[in-house]
Amino acid sequence: MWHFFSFTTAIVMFLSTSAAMAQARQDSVIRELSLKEVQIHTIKKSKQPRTAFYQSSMLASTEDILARIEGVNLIRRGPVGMEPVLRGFSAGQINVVIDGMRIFGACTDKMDPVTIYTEPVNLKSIDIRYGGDGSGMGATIGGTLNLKLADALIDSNARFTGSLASGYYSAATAVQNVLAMNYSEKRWAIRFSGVYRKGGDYLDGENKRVNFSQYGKLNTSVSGKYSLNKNSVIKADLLFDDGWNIGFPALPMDVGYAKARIGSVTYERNDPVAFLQALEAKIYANSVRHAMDDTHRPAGTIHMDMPGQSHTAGAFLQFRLRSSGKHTIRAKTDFYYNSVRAEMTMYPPDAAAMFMLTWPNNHQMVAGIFVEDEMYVSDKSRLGLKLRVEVAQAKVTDDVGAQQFSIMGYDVQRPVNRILKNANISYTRFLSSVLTVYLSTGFNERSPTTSERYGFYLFNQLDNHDYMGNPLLKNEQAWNAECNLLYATKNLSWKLSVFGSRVGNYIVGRTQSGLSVMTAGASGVRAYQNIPSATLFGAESSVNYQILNKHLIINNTWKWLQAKDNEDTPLPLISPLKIMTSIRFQHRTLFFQAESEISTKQDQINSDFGETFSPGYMLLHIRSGYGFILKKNRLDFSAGIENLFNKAYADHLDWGATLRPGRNIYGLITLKF
Amino acid sequence: MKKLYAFAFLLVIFAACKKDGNAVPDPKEGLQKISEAYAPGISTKVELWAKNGLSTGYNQLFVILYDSVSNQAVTKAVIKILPVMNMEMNGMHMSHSTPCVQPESDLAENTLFPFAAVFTMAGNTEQNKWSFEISIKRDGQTKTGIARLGIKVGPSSPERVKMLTTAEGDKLVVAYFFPISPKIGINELEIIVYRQQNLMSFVPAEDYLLASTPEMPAMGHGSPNNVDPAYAKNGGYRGKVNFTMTGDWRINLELTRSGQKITTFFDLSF
Repeated sequence: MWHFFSFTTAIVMFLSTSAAMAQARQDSVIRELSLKEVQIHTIKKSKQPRTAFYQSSMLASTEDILARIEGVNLIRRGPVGMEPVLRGFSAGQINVVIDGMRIFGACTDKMDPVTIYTEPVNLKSIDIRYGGDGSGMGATIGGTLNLKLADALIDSNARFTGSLASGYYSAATAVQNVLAMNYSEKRWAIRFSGVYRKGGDYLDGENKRVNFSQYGKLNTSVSGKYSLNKNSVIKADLLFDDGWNIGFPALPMDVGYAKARIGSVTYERNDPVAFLQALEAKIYANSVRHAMDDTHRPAGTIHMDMPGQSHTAGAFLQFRLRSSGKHTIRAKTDFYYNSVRAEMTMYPPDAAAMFMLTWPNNHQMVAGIFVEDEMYVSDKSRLGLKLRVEVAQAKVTDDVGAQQFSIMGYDVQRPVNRILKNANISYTRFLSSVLTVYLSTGFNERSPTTSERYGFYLFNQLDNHDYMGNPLLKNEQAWNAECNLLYATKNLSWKLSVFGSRVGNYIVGRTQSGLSVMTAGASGVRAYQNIPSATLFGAESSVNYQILNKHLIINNTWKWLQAKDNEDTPLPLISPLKIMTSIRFQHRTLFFQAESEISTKQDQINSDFGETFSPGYMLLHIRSGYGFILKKNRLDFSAGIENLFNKAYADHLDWGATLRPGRNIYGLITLKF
Repeated sequence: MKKLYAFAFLLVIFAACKKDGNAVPDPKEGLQKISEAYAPGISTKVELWAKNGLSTGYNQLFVILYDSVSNQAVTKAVIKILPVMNMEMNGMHMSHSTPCVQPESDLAENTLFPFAAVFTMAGNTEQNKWSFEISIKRDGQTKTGIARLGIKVGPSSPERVKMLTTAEGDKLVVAYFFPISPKIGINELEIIVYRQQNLMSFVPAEDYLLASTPEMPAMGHGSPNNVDPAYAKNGGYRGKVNFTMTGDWRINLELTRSGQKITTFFDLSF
């Protein structure tokens, strides 16, 4: 009886396999269309052909990789700590998560976006889902950037593997050292990685030192994995990131220290034939401490201490059910608690110290349910449905903060509850064996951030205004739509995206004539307000072409964006058209790569927010590498010159138009064992 | 075992009772004795209490009366207080008074008769001496007794009282106090304005329009949504002042009467 049963199962499985293979290819196409996934080389080389383009070298930082992704721009206030922007959306409009874990920066001036707390060496991939496609990780209008942590690898054939890289960058006389190791037994494995980066003030394209552009950073992570049985594993991850003396030339202060402690335990089960096909449960906690520092700045202004902290704990459970009929259901439930506090103490000469809370102790509790149904409508088309409902509570928890806000006429100790709804629908049509179209549209909401709600006289250098939070802000609500086309043959793939969003209750700062400035020299006070609407739209393209038997790889991406408010005024910090092209010649372990980076001028500016016209620029980079294969190890040398012609330039999203590094010659050695 | 429970039960009861016993607060809690004297002829001991030692500016004070025979607190009496400064300058004697807010009621609040004095100068030396002449008529007695209590008044820094002379020649004494110590947030503020009639007589100045503007001199900024003090009673103008942070603050004051404006300020730190 048992034999008969297993025989039948085998036949059923065999019959379904061929169909499953075609379906698997379709699944991967849909993934490519709904998700931008950039895999990362660490110990093992990523198989994704484009990784070499995004990750220009083993020592590229997370920010370096993000800057090259179409759809991502970075707001730069200093050489480290750039803030990611997804298709014009940033800060609270997007979710930046680490392996699905919510984590929030502790700096009131956005000096510590979550992306700085990871390093490529502890990442497996960077996943970006734009707009409502990203609502699986939390209510969002702009999307989700998920920094997926690298797992320990259980592989009894390779007991001990690793890589060691060391490099030098001339512009900032910077050294960077990276170590990653994996040790595996039969049922368990442990992975360690560490990165040390230190840079001095860099030389810009005019051969001038840019003061306060130094940095120091140490990132270590340990992750362990234990295989409970054939289908399930338990994982534990710990990540420590310590930054110190990080300069912010575009701001009046630097970072004294920035420390993140991130930990999680995950249980995973995968069983393709079970009803509960895949299950992941994670509990996590993280803590960020951050302090600004002005002691290295020229004397004359009042010295101040501005420490901040952010603590988050959460859990989620997600699972996928075996397909039944046309439906494949994925569901997730998640919860997190975040509490933040930031304060400022100023020490005027010959007067008492002045203290206030710039972020009064406040917490957010968020619980959400997410359901996704992937409907197999026919051989040629799929329909996707994503729904998320989230309950969010925010409250100021200390008296001083409540008193501060009572001055403004707000009662912030009463909890504010919000229900956030995200609903998205997508449709994929396989037009031919090489051409696929993906359409997606939806309604999405996000709640205001801590700064937007409870910020107290936060100084914004860009528009030279103090910013006041507004506890009564309404949720931002967006209608998002996008259309993606993917043309893919064996050697050529081309993805074109056109997207747009109409955001209601868009949150911006508006001048309050009745309030006097707190920061000496500021031109006024602004408070966050909902304006009726803003419109953002744009297009992106990415082409990858492999010719001459993969000896030559040509990669081209461009990104273009337009954004304006309800009065047709351009929104601030919108990147102009950017085109990046790279040609890579590869023969065995030798490669040469030439890259061009073009940014057009930006004259769609918002002068009220301190923006000025940004001229366009074009940069050339060259890179090369050669590897020796020793017995069991491999030694790679690579070297390159970035900004070959020493162009003096600044990007439109660089605050204060501080010039970026000039010609930068780098060299690095990588040993893989 | 049973005994143990009974013991525990009794202990709880006892603890509860003890707490109950503390329910009526000690009227002198948090206060210190400033001075004491007997009022001759009415067999009454007069004690003067205050939160802190006295200094120039507004001072909240409390009179407590005891029957000198029974040592019981006297809770009903008509009390009038006259502050007197006796000065010796180059052999010349001179005396003057200062604004004083009299007890509002002849009934004590938990044995305390609250009043306030605005000292315009320090007095703690042989040459400059402050005293209170307190006249007392106890309930049920016909005789009025007078007690003289010497007090020491220190200087305050920053100064908590200002003397102004208006364009019309009015001499004003201006002081301030916070019913609750200043803190970050909204603070009730009372400004006291008295007009000097002669050396010994000060009367509430009720007819000024006040505008108060807080400012942090080190930063040059103020705070929003303040409420200008409006006249309440006993020379006091009540308003609201908002402090956005701790540190050194200055409250700028503008006093206007029949188109004439006079300004002053108070510095404070918390």
